[in-house]
Amino acid sequence: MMSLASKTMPGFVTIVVALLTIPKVNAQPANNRFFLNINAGYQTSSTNFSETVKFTLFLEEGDFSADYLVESSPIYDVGAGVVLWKNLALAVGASRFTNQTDVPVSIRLPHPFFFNRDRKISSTAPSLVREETAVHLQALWMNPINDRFEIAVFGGPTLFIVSQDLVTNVSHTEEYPFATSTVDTVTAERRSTSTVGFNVGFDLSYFLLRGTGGTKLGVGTLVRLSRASIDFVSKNTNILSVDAGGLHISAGLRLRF
Amino acid sequence: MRPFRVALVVVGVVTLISFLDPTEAIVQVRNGSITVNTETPTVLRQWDGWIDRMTRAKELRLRQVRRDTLVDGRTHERYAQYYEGVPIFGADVARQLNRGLTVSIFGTAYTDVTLDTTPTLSQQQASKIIETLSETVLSKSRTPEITILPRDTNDESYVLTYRARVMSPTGLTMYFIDAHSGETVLQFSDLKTQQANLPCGDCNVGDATGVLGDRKKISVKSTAGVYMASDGLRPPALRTFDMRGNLKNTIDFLNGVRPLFDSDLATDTDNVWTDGANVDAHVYTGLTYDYLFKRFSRLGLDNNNIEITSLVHPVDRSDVFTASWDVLFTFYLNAFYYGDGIMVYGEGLPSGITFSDKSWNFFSTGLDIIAHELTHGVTDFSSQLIYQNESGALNEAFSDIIGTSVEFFFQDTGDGLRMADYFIGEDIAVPDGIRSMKNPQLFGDPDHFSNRFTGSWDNGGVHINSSIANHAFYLAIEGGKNRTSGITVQGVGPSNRDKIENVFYRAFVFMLPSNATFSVARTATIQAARDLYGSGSLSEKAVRQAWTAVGVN
Repeated sequence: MMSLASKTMPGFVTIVVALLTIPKVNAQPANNRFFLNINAGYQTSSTNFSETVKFTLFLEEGDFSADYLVESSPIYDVGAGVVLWKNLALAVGASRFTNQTDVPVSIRLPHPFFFNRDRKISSTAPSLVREETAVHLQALWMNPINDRFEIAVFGGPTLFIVSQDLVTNVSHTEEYPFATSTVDTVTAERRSTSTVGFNVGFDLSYFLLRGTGGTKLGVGTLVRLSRASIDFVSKNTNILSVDAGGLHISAGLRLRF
Repeated sequence: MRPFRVALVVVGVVTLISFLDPTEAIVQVRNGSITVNTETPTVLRQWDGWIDRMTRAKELRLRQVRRDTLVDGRTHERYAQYYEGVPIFGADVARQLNRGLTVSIFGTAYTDVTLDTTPTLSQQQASKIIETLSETVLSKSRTPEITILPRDTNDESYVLTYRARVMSPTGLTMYFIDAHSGETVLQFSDLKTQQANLPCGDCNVGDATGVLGDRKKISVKSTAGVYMASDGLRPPALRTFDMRGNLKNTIDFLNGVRPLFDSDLATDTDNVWTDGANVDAHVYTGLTYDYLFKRFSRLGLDNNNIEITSLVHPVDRSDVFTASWDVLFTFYLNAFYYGDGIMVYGEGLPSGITFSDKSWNFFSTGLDIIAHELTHGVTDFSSQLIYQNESGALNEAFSDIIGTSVEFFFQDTGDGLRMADYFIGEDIAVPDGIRSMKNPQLFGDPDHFSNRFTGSWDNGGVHINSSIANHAFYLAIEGGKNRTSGITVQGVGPSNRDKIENVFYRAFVFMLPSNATFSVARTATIQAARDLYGSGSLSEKAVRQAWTAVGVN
């Protein structure tokens, strides 16, 4: 199993390193203590995983396999922070990602009359939901380029709270001559768990307005890679390791005060 | 005045679809030795009209209509002939229709029957006579039926008789008692045998081991922690009873004196079945049902999912040394179809005891044996081939043909135990079984019509002359040279064996009359090949060549 997110890692690191090495033409410390970012964007990377649940039927082992694909989807992100010292700041962000997809399920059913004569049928579990809520704790290095532009690079731990609909049962109807079988229902249950991963990224802000007291309002774009491996206990009590997070690209409002 | 009797065997094989196809019809008048061949549909139309007239006169009664499961739009009708309301034994006609148009007619009808149909003896008196003859007691459900019996003798007469099938320790016998004098007019063994000589709530799948040590699944039912050999997964009730060596119970059940109860079913407490004879009987009965369904879309023996009852362990093996010869050859070295979906499987011989230089296992061990016997049921519910002489040999041959076909359907091809081959009964009579379809001469059976058995033993050689049709079936598939005629047949090849199976099934189930001859079987199978695969098809050629090679023209 290989997620697209993991393939994006080298490129993302290169971008972050490049940003950190931008020469500070008019380097100056951040002069607003607090900041607030509100973004909407896209989790661009997709991931997939599969689960096989085994069972015994007609004296033999059968199974069903569900192939899950978590596709690119919109995210919503909000973050706030405080400058602690010079360009160093501490922030807390939260993002939410929801994806809903049909999951193909393939079933291998032993034959009631013969050994080693499995029947293979397939079905679909419709509209299974994946939800990820991530809380990002970030240390930022805020680097104003001039009066209007600011770049910040950040990194830190992320708490992922992930819910995933997992196929738990496939009911089917058997009928003579048992050459095949008809799937009646595919049952899914939502499993939730949490884990800690990481996030790294950068934020580019452009300030349009300057208010009294140095308050600034602008727009910006956020590029963030967050990642964790999360474990679900599947139907057959095996541990199912699933990737959470991914590459977020979003844009929104920037407020400095 | 002695009635004048004419038996018309109409083998009208005429394709009427367009009136352009080559047609063939044969009219035989038995005992008068008249045979008519025609290349026009005229004869067929005449007989078609004759059937309609006879039906209106109530001298023919429609006893069965079957939708053709092999050719869309076709139906098959079977008529039985009556005289003044009394059935005439062996007189029936099979008519094939294509959306209402007659395609073929096969049958035997008797004209100019004149006799008094009022019996002198009462039914009770006839029962007493038959009970005395068979040394058994007949239940009320087995009372004799009044029947007109055509006598195949030179005096050409008909006899009003009482007819009954009776099971006794000596076997299953068909009796014809003169309804006036009480004399026995005819009796013959009606035991269709594998002779040695010769998804519901309580459904369950058990782990079973057959007689030969092969592991298999068994479809059973469970009640109160007990697993019973009652198949709930297939459409009909398939039930296997363990008679536990009680011959009296077996015979009483067959004669309708004693019913069978669930407590008589073969059972197991842990669903791990180890009585191989019970296991094989139950599992192979299911496989035979499956074959009929998958190959021919047939619903069991009667095409209406009749219950199939298998009786296993009718005697105890340890009693074999004190058993009479009749019991030995009926309940040890034999399996037979009793009728009404009831099967009885012989016990075989104890290990180390041989007969005819062969060891004899439980008769339910052989898949081909079980399919063979069940096919007698198919015949009973379709052509009703009379179990004597040529029709009896065809009856046996059809059972061998389906028995072997079931093997090839489920087992790997090869030599040895539990392999698909052209030996019959090789898994129970070791080595090599009891007949060979490939080379009948290995067992002293004829492979050519000119060498047929003409004596009266074995009901006129039903287990002997069956090899002629068996060998034709083999040649039509595998091809090769007949050892007697030297004629070479180009078979359809093993990969096309289903075509020849379909041809023989179609002919034997839908077309043959009850007293068919080999010649009629030839014509019917050729017609069936045309129906299914077209005139001039490889299948038709193979079938035609095969019959010619075995001397049936």
